[in-house]
Amino acid sequence: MTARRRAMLGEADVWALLERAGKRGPLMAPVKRGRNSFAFEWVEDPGAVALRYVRTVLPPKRAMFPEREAFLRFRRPPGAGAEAVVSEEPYVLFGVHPCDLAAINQLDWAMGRRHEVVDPNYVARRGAATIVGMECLPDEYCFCPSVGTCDTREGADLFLTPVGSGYLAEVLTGKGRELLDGRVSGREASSEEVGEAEAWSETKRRMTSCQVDAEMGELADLLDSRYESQVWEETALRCYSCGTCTIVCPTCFCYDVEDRLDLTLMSGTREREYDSCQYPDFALVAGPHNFREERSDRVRHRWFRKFVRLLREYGKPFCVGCGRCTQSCTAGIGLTSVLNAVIAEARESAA
Amino acid sequence: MGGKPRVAFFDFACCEGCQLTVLGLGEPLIELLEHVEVVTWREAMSEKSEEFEVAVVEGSITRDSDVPRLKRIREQASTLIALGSCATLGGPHVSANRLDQSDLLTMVYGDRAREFEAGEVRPLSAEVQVDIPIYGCPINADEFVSVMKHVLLGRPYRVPNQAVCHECKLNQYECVYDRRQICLGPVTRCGCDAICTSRGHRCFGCRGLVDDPNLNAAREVLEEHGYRVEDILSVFELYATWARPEEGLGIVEPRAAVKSRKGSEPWRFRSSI
Ligand code: SF4
Ligand code: SF4
Ligand code: SF4
Ligand code: SF4
Ligand code: SF4
Repeated sequence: MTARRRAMLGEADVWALLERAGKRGPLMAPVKRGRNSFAFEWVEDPGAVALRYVRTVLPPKRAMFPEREAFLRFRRPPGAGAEAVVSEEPYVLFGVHPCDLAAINQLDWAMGRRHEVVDPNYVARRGAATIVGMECLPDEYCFCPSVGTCDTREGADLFLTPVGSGYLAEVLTGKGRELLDGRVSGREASSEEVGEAEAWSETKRRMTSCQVDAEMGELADLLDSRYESQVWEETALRCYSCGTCTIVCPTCFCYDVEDRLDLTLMSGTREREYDSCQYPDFALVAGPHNFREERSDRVRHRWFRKFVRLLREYGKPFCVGCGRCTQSCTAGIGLTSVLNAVIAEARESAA
Repeated sequence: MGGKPRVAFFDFACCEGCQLTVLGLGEPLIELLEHVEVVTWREAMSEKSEEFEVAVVEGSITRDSDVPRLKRIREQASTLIALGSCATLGGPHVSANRLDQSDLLTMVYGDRAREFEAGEVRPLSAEVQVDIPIYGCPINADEFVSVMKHVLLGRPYRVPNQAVCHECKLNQYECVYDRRQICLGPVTRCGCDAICTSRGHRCFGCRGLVDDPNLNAAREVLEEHGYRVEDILSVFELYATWARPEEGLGIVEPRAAVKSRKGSEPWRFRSSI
């Protein structure tokens, strides 16, 4: 039996799907952590998966771009040999919200198409993924409607929207069809059910309480005109440079590389770990010169990176409105608060 | 030098917890001993030697009479490693510096106070040049092994200079602030893999401050959580007193004008606890 493009699944069918995904190979999905936080993890027990959550600490990009990753095994002395470490084992990534899907599409570009040299580990891990998307409801930190990521389906192979007591499943690719095929007894969704699923988009827009006070098309120029804004300095007074806002961002792709030797001292691994433009030593180069030594330079860089430079290059802001940075900033610095302060200044000074 | 580099362990005022961490390494310690010869280690062996290339020194300096011994160690060692927060920051007992010396001696030794010597508690770096600081109370055993590998290969060791939040987030631990408690992670040097927040505790700042801590932000944030300046200083007192956070905390800057705007996200500290 071939699954239909839009099938209605009961909740039991979704658990069966998770069970099946878990048996086939590795499964990454959101699980509850601590009292009120969630994390995308490789799950052994599909029963532990959280079907409803607002956001996870780290975004699901960690399935294809892990926070710590060994990518080369080498022997000493130099020239004694080295092998790349790349995993192509197929896996299922379950429960990805539309904003995070949009971010995966952005990383596909940044890591796979932006430059002639691609990131082979990312590309291999991305290719090995079957992604099941999941519709969600925003909290006070989400602003996906402002950045146009609210209804993202691209990037998912299968997409689930809660409807009634079940889920409407959209089959988007062959991989998605294969995951659903045969095992899970879906029935054709009725037009009311399709309508109910489509109404989510409107509900999300209505429930979102923060927004960016500008059209995406004018944003880069507005910010560019306020390169010298006092807002960067004022924000820097509050900022710890702790890097949290970028470590948790689904669109950030910076990493640091270090060689770790075994205790034989004759072999080791080359490893990468997420890095952050907010760290004082991030822009430290030979010399030594540090081209973003001031905290305010680093603060400005975060907003310029997302809303000026990459926006111009990619055509869309490199921010998907997931709210992770604001929610996790222990100094309370808000992504849209800062952005809107600069936008207001730009409009005032242009008037 | 030929042969294996000779390593000597020494201690000054401390609890020896950091040396114990090294002793408790297990397998990696045995593997390390393939590459080095330990010639002095009071906590682990009875032999002693004045000939060594690498000195691993635990503890802080509290008596002037300890200084010549430390200087001799420094002269002999081509590499001096300061082991733990006592050696690198002065340790928890730096808080004694806030008290009057003679009061302190009487408090501890009573009638016999005159038989004892005490002085300003200070890290090794106050007296000699330290080549590699290993922070932590106690140290992270993995970091010790990593430092030794760098020393053995003659490579410079990069002391971690990110906040504990870096490792806390990489491990996806629930943030202590999300439970409406405070944490020193944002101004504390990482390297411990956020071991305290992994168990739901806050970071107490045992690895000391990062190189460029925003103490002004720390003060504002802690105040918004209902702490007064005195409370904030006592929060920092355990490990950061040698670094004199009060100097940073004293500066009163205008608050950032970016906190709350209509239509932007809510200000998360609106109701302080
Ligand atoms: S999370 Fe907040 S305090 Fe930390 S670097 Fe980002 S903006 Fe600054
Ligand atoms: S900048 Fe903030 S809101 Fe935007 S994608 Fe990154 S973490 Fe999410
Ligand atoms: S740093 Fe802590 S564990 Fe190490 S010696 Fe000092 S008090 Fe003991
Ligand atoms: S728990 Fe502490 S160390 Fe962890 S992210 Fe929160 S403030 Fe930082
Ligand atoms: S979390 Fe903080 S107190 Fe705990 S070991 Fe790390 S630096 Fe020390």
